[in-house]
Amino acid sequence: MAAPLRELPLPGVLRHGLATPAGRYLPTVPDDARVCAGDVIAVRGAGGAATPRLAKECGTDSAVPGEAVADLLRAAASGRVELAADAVVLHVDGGDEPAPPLAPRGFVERMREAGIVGMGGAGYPAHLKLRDAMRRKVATVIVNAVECEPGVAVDRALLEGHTEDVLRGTRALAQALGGARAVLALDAPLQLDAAVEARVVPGPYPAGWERELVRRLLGLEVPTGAYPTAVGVVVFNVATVFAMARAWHRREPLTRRLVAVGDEPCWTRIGHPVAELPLAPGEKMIGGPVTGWPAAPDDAVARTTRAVTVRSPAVPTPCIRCGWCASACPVGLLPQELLRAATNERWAETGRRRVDDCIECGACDMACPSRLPLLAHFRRAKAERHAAARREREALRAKAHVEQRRIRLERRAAETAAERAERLRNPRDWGANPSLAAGRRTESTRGQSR
Amino acid sequence: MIRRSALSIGPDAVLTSRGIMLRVSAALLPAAIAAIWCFGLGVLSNLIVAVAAGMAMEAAWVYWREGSVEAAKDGSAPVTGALIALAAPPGLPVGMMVFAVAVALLLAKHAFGGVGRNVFNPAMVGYAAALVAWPAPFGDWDALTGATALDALRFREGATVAEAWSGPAFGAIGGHGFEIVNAAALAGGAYLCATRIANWRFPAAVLAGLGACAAIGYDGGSSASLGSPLFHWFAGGTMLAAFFVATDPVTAPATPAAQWLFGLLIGALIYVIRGFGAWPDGIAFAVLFGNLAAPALDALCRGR
Repeated sequence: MAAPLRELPLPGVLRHGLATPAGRYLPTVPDDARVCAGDVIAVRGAGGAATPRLAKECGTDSAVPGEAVADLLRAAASGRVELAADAVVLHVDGGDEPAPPLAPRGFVERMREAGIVGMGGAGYPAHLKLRDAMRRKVATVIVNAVECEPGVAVDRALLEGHTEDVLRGTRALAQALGGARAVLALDAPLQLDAAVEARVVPGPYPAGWERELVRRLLGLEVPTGAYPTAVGVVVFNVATVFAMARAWHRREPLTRRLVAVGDEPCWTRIGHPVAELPLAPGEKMIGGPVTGWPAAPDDAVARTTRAVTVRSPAVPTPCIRCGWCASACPVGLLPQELLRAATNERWAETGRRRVDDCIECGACDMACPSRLPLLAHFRRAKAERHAAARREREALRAKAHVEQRRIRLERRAAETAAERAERLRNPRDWGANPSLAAGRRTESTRGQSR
Repeated sequence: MIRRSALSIGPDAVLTSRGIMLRVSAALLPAAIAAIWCFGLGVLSNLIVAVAAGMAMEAAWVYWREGSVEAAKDGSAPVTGALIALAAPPGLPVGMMVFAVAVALLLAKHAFGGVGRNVFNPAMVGYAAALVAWPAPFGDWDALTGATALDALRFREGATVAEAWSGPAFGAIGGHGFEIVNAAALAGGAYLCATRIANWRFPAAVLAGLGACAAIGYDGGSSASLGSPLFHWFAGGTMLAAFFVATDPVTAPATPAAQWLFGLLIGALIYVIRGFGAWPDGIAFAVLFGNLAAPALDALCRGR
């Protein structure tokens, strides 16, 4: 059995970011309020109608309109609230007391109340995914313990350190999904005494990518633009399943997660500021050193943060078009050509060269002998294309508005002209049209006041 | 507990560009040694002049442009210099060699934006420029070995291949001495392909293109035929071109199908220029034409 995993001490400040990959949360607590560990501090969804309202006193359910269906974000510790533009900041004042247990509810509802989202990185609310999976009556649930990036060791550590929780969670999940077949996907063999189907995913990185995982494990091709539920499969990250097990069996809300801090997996409070993590100096990355994002100064550990690492400084040299990136690319793109287009800001060409198909696995970065940050360029290209498409849509919409307005005005002018012509033709017949009669009255009144 | 993922790819495991160039240089060594052994110290003086001039020019240019010589240490300039030195006749006058290297590095490479941005293979541009400027020293390859096998075969005045072969320019299978240099270059090139530094498609396609054309033009050795595929593979600078010049990824296409066409085109052109052109060997012009065609080939093969 592995050594116990280190738990980072509770920091003085927790920062719960409101912008998540799945959408923006709205705070439900006012500035300067005091909240307790486990309180709902922000919600998302419910038709976007989440109104900022005071959460009730500690321990009681808050009564925010629409909350019964919204995705919840819960405070990871007790403290005083400071509302920032994009975060609820908690100035921790309490001890390290645990959050009160969740109310006894059904599996899906419990996951929603626990505030569980996809912890592999997507951040999609677990209860929504579960509902989708139930509606489609999926046959298989995959628990994904294949690391997101070579060099990041967090899924495996969780699996080895908390095997029992993960397996119980897997069984509960399979049961909740109507007895679906549960498969534990691994990147290296693991001795398990329990009766859970564990399978090592063959092949090179990125085996942990959801579509690739489903293909390699079950031989099923997920259609482009669809989720695995389309082929009767639902995939949860092992960290999500662990959180589900805790929420289901121990009624714990999601307030902490295992994060690979540099090389070491540590239990970390959701909201732990990245700046206060025990890391070597260097450029901090949210995620792995290759596929991660450069951390902003006030970034904090979110529910989706699997790793915070330090990128070793690499000085890029010019591209020599060796093509190693193309050999490494799992999607069959030509990263060297994409790079050239992206550095020259030829965004349309990046589109022709299918930059939108890039799954951002970073295999090209890992293969590049010139140490070029290819992935960063492709992310920029995608963002630029996205922005350009939005601008174009807006321009078209504005154009349509202007056109409609022109047509409306022309029609109105034509109607007025017709009425006027009609009036001139029949000057006595004012009473026939009430609006014209009204017009006459106005004219006469105006005449009198003059 | 520190545990790495079970997958072994990591950024540090991959060669750097400089590492690639150092390995290419190492792979050139057998051919260089063979050439010195077969053609004398003139090859060594070529190598010294070209490599030294190349490194000096690279350093001077990069220092002028960037204020630091750091970027000049990528190892590409010595490779360019060595390729010119091995392609040129032994004991080429220093001025001509410096001219060739200057054209290669300054005009063909840096004027186009430096490493990775050049359109034409710098070594071949430099070599071709010197060849066009001073045809004479390149034409009679040198006083040491007399006429080359390629020339002897082309200007043999109606003799059969077997009759021509009795001349001093020929060895066992290729040109005298050249066959050894080619074998050494083949060995170095095989190392590059095995380590996947060079893409095997390029040499395979070049040799296939050259071999196919030679096979078509070879009728067993009559007075009208131009040498067997084996002869052409081991004559002149074939292996050097196939493994060290055509494999330059900067000036070659990126799509696999285009890479095949590129190699085949170069191979065929080598044969055509050797057989019917006015130059001692077709390598440089064939490669330059291939470079010229590379973007078009890529566009042709992009598909999907």
